[in-house]
Amino acid sequence: MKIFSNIKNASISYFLIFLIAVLFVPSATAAFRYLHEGMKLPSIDSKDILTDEQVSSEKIIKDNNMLIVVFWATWSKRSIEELHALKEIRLQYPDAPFKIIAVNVESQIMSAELRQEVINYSQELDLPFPVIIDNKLEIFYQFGVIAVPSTAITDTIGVMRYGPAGFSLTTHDLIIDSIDVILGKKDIADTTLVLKKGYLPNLKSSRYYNLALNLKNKRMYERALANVEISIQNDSLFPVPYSLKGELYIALQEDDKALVNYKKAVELDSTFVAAWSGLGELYLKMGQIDSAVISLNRALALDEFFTPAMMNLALCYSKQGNNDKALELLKTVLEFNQHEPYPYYYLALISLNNSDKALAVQSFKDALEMLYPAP
Amino acid sequence: MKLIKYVVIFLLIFSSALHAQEITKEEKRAERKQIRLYLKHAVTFYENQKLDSAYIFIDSLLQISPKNVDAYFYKGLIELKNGDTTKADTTLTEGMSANPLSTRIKLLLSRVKIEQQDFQTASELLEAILKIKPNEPETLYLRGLTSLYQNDTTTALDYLQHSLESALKRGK
Repeated sequence: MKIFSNIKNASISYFLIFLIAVLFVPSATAAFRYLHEGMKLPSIDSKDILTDEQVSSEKIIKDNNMLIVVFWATWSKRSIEELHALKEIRLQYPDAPFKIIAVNVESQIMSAELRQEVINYSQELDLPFPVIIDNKLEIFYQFGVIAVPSTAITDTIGVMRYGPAGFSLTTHDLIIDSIDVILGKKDIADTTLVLKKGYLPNLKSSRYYNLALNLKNKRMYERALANVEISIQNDSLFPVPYSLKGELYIALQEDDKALVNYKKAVELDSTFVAAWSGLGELYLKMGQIDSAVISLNRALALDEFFTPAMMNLALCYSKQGNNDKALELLKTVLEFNQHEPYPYYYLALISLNNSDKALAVQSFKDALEMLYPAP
Repeated sequence: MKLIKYVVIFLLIFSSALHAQEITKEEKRAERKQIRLYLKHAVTFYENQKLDSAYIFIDSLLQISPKNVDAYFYKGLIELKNGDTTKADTTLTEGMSANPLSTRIKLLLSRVKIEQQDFQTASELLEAILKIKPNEPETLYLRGLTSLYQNDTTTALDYLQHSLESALKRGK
């Protein structure tokens, strides 16, 4: 009897392990180019625009809270829906140990008038959590946000576990489920949630990766490369540095080396959306359109809202002569990224491909007016 | 004795000259500090949209430092922001005479010229900047605009594309 009981217990254990392993299979979400599940969030330190109180992500995590960071803008209907939903969630769980920070990414350049508009809008929303304005989109670029809204959800030690782009009814339910699961109120088996544990890199590797990323953002590519090499030396199984290395080699005009690194990144993690997208973009640059389409579709199969992949795929379709499909894709991108120059840049390239000079000029102009507005 | 007398006189003159130099150095240091302070206040007021206050500080700054390139730049910027292109034109032209190598002033003046629909002069100013900084995105953008407004779409397209690609490479 004891033997049967032991076998039964062992079976249950193995079943649970199997269930957890299956359910921890990485999910199809990637709202951030430089932030991967398993990594710690870049630090946020700013002031609440309504109360003027200091808002610090590190303090929140230090106090053992789960953290939800949502990137939003007044021009994004979906992000307003998400804010309302998060308000409801907060009110439903008033004492639960999670905090929300709403990061407004209205525009690269915030005039005093625009800032006041955002403040007035936030006052009307009456949110029970802090709202900060991302000046010059610094936080936006640090996270590598690719769509608005985008949400980063961490566990109670500050490691990102879930990062959806966009906001649908499904995302709403999944956000609630992720809170319940991470706080231990629900079993993951009772949800459709797939929380990605991600690869937890060794600290030294992570540190050198972040250093490399900062150097890359300052266009110090050679130095960034040196640091990313050290990151890889310290943890050769951490896939994210290989993707960054790919980007760096592209910047240094060494496409062949970039290709090797992107391939390594997806070899280590076949669900690495940003790497598939980067690989696709590289193939496109090299003129290998078919390979580009495969890689980009791979990225979009993992995350249908990964806008860099959508934009590059649109360009591929255009080069293949399918302009309607290209423009359709770009329209979707513009819903997420109205105030970013990239969609207009791609629209211009597609127009050029289509010999539509007028639209190309207008699109370039639209993008540049955003970056260099008249005084 | 005579020699000693001359040595003493020389030393007296020398030390007075040194002392005078010290006073001048101190004054100059104080002046530079004041210039920096005025500029800091002007920029702060400007960034907070308090243009009248910014203007007052700029004017004070120009009294102490009549060739100050930042002062001319911000003065011209405020005048342009207030919609007074004539004043902005005068200020920036003066600024350009005082600082002929300043690309910032040329760039802003080119914007004024575009507002005034003087595309030819704007183009010339922008070409002068491009000789030194051929990949500067804002300059390329404005150069593209001048071509566009002069109905040269092909040239405009080249400049605009170059500008945006340059800006995106810089991580904009």
